[in-house]
Amino acid sequence: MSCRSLHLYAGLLLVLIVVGGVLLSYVWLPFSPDDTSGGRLAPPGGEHLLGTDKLGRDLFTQLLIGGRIAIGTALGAVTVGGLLGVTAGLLAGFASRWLDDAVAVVLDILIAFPTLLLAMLIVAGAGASLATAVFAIGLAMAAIVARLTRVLVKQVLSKDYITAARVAGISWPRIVVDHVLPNIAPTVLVNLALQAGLAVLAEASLSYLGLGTPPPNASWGRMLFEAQATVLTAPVAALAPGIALVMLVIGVNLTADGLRRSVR
Amino acid sequence: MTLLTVDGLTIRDASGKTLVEDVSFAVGAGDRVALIGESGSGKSLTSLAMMGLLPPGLTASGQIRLDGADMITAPQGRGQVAAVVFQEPLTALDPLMTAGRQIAAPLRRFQGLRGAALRSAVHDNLAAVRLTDSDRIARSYPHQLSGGQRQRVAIAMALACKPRLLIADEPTTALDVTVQSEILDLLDRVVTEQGTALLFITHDLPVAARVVHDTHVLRDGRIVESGPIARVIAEPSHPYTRTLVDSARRFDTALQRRRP
Repeated sequence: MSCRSLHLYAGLLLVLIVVGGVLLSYVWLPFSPDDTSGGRLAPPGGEHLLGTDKLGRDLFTQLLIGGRIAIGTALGAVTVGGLLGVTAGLLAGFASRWLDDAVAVVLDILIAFPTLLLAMLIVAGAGASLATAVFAIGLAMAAIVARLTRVLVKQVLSKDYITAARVAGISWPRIVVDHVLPNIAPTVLVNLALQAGLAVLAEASLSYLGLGTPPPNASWGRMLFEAQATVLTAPVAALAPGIALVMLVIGVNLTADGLRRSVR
Repeated sequence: MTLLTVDGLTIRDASGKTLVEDVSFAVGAGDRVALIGESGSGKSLTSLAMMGLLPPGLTASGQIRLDGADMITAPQGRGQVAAVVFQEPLTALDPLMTAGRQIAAPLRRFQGLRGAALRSAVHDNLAAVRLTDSDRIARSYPHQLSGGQRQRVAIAMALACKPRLLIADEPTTALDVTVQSEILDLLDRVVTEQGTALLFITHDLPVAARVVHDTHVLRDGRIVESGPIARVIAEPSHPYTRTLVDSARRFDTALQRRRP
């Protein structure tokens, strides 16, 4: 098996395990998310597969529900970042020189700004909710995607087949749909896949700081924060969301890497 | 009636530097004209200006009329009148589209062909550029074709809508010498068959001599010599043209001398 497919399949396997857990959570959960009947900090095993947290909620249930938030964040942020980023990048790629320069400066400032800080500012302004966090992460992602798109668009526009199409009198929208978008798509999609992994991490960080998913919803970042105080007495409560997070992010990155190699 | 008239064309860049100065020539229906010049002589800028595709920052003055339409004040796509074949066939074709689809695009758009009629028109066009294995070629992506095949596909694409003027911008420079020769023969034949006028842009005097009747020699943005190509080669009047002819002859004599 070539290196490329090894990356791709290992990545897809990890992602599928998490996605499988999320899909399962919609049809079956071991306990109700706010069922505290298990007693505080019950050890793993028996009725509670991973034990309970300090409020007595089943950890495995929390983990599955946290997976929904992680996957939802990844999809939401990629949608926001992809739509905003590709649109802005296309406009900049076509813009006259001074407008293009202005867009480039704005993008550079946005990219230089740490994602978390940007997200914190937006959350501070709009209030902590999952939607705000996803939008903030998507916005930070859009800047990176826009810069990539802009360069790719300029590369494609310099090709002779674009000149040939213009000589033939084909309209710009037609040229964008027929030639520009298909030619930038592979690189942009691989980049979006990479960004999806970072988005999951960013949401977990925001939730850990209390700026992402508000309680009682269990985001993996929140679970880490809540397990922090009892990490020595109940390590599973911290390990479980941590391992899940690492699994998903590595899975997404490996998948993106495998895709990148097969695009080349 | 003249198909293309360029009259007093002057192109300046943003800083006011003159890149092309007072260039005038005409191409009539069925004519074959060459613009010969080294890189930087303004030959490619002139051809871009003719299509109304000057890069931003450059301004053109003077007059360019392509089939009666003013290409300086009101540039517009002239797909039915003129088409271009480029130097590098790899970037002249969209890498993600099969050759067949690329030839089909103008046919669909300008002649409204669909379905079986479109398919057979694509095959006719491939046959016109002497690509015999047209089924396979139509299904191939550019990277699956050889350089010569790609350039043939590019020519087929340019000729698909039966333009009255074909602009060939260094169409053989990127090709092997033997393939170059085949492509020149092909261009020669297709423009004869279709009665297309040819504007051939090159830095290579012998190459131009094989396909055109008249020529204009450009240097530093100005036309320094014009006339029938036979006369320009036989009795060049401008020193620059003389250098071009002399250096071409030196290649010839080198070949002669090495003959066993």
